[in-house]
Amino acid sequence: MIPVMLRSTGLLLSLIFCLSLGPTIGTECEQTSPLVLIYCQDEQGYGEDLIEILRDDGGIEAEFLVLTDSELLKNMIYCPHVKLLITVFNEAKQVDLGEHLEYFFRTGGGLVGLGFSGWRATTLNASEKVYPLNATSYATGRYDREKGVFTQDLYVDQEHEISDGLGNFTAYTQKIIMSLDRASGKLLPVEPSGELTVVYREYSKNAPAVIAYRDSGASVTIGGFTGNSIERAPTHYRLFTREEGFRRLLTNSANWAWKNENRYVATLSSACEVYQTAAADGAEVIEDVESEREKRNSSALVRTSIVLVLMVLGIAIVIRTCFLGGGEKEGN
Amino acid sequence: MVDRKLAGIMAIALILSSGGFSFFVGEKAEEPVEILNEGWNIPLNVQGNFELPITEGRYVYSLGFVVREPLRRLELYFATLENSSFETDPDSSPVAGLAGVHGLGDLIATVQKYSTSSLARLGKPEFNLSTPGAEYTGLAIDLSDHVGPVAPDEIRYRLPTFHAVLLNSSGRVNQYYRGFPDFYLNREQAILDITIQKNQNVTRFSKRVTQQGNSLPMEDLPPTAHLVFDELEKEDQIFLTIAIDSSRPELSSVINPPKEAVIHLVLMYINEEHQSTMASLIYR
Repeated sequence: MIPVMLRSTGLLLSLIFCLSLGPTIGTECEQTSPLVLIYCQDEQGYGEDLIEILRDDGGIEAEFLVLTDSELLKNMIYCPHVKLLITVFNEAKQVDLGEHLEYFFRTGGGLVGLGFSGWRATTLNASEKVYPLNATSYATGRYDREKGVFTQDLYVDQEHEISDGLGNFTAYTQKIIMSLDRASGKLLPVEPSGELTVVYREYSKNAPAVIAYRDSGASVTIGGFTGNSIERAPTHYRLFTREEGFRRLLTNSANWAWKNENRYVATLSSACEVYQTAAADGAEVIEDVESEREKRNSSALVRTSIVLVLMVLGIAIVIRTCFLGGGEKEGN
Repeated sequence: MVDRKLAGIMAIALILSSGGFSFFVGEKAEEPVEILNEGWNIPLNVQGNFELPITEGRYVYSLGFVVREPLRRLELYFATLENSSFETDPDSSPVAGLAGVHGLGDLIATVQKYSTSSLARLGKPEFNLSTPGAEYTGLAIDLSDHVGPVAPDEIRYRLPTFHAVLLNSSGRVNQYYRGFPDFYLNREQAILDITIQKNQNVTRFSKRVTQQGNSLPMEDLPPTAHLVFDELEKEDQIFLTIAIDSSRPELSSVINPPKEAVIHLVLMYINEEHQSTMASLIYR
């Protein structure tokens, strides 16, 4: 009944299909592909463009999943198969994700953060410990009327894999976020505990714009590229996701974080152990039940045989006593 | 002579009927458990739905059942989910507010690819939910086992890993709920006490621990709302009550502000197989 009802809803058909696979899914826990998880706040299309860029590059062989809902992201951050997490915060509002990002990084995870990922009010402590921009302010770029986009010039501060093949470039981004003391107008220093490299700075403010960071995990913070799906708006994400500079920056960043993360192997291995223990426990129960069922079936067979024999004997006695035996007596 | 033959025929008939009874009636399979009572004592509103009053009051969920055949393992999973989609009007458009469900579909498809035996529990998640205005079919999806091995305990129990979609009588998605695998929302504040009884053995968890020591503090309650009964015998009886105070604020960490309805689910598994799901819709 349920599959029939769902026929009209393509999404739920796939859901049912997935659910129906449940019992047959394999146990090759550690041989599965790693997962790249993309959280793209409120913009599914933007996230899908990121997948397309990474697939075109081919440097990362993985499954990809885009989520736009922070509550669903909380579920998936703890999936043992996640090797790389890409976050795009398109707005400066607080999202209750900071501690989860921190945990992912602390356990060795690889991350790439765009937009407001390093914004203090959005990711709280994660804006220092994961995406160490600790930003509280932003610079708006120049508006290019001809192209209909905002642009910001970025120059290489410290040579890094992330700037390979890219060099200085003009980014199609409206905002670059930064840590700025409003009173003095000076940039505030970021003091992380790990190894921090300022790969790019924004030209006019000299503010860090792209940061590679290694501590327990590995992260790349890109302080720009917030986007939306409003057509003809200068902030439409497609204005930069089709642009070569952004594509190279993203792939280099993702590849670097992918190579330098320390979480995937350890987490997956320990999770698989837990899964196997749970599976063994479940199998033991099922085995006990099967064995008990077999015992019951054999005793039922014995009981049935005895009943049958008794019935045959009873009927034979009745026939002999009431029919055959009676006839002999009558004849005598 | 006639009497003897008649007696013989009657005797044979008696033997055949006794044997037949033994075959067809004596071997008839029973349900492994018989539910004696299940549900909340929450008052009904004018529409006939459960609605928690905002004034102080003790409201109790109770579940009682008797075991009809020996069971190797019986498990109960509890979950309380908040409406996370849109209004609970059964006639509302199935399109509105489905963004979350769209994400959920992709998420489940991905999780399923990585699924291990712990996710076999997704295999039979349907349930029925009757309200005075509408009949729903629901799909319950529990991802808590999936994140269990990785998430630290202090975070794990705050993750909204339990999801459900409701389909109306025409098979369209009508509502989406999500929440936590717990006895009720916000257990520290809302739950007054929980009693679990197997035959004469009673375990009681209470906010107010008396000096007589017949209750355990709520902190001793298992962090997961997952009860396991191993090696149950025929005629064993299980009773469970969850008492809540309706006046306690049910602060939602899922939705802000909290939504107007919750679904309380109890999933029963017998010998690793889903047996039944009991669902209640409660308005607040």
